[in-house]
Amino acid sequence: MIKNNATKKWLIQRLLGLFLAPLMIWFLLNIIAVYNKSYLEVLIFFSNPMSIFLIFLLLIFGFCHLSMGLNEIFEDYISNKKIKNVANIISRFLSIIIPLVTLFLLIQISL
Amino acid sequence: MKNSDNPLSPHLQIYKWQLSSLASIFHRITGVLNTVGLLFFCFWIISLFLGENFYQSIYTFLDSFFGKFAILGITWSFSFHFLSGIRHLVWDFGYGYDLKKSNIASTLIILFSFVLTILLYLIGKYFI
Repeated sequence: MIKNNATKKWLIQRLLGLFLAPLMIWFLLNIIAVYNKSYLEVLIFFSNPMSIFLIFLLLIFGFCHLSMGLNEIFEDYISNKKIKNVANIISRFLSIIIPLVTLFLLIQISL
Repeated sequence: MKNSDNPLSPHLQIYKWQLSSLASIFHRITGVLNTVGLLFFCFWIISLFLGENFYQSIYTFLDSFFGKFAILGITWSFSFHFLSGIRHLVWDFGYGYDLKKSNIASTLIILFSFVLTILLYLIGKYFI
């Protein structure tokens, strides 16, 4: 197993990217198909169990991947350690809360 | 005075602009744009929960010229990040580092990001 933490992150970031690619293609195609449709038609897409499952994966993988990416950007462009840590904490916190709230409400919609 | 802060990456304005640096920085910029896009989609899903009246305001935006632009924009941003991401994977396996290949790859990524955008849009619009 990989012992080094940075190497682990590097690998996870790329694996998440690999999983995300097909999910994003599926999601974007469907969004393009329904983005200017009526409330009901959009609701039908979002309350389909298959859609919910794939959106679940997309949001979990997506927010992990983007939180790691933002972390790297902060690492490169914020010199002050304190500000960097605060930025990381806020972005990680939001990357957990936002997908969870969205998924919770998505399940509420479909019930 | 002890400076415990980490050294920074050189900021963008000191680079001499070249294809490779353009593709590289756009990988990050499109990554951030994808983040904004994903946040918007979360907001969209939440608006469905909040009811038809609330949804209507987002619908008005999405159905306008700016809405179409936003959807196309996020599609392009994903396309670029996706293609550039593939190149990152190729790099990780140790290929594609020499100057000539790098320039060809950068050109192809920029070009095909637009092709992929149009392709995704047409498929989504007419085949789904």
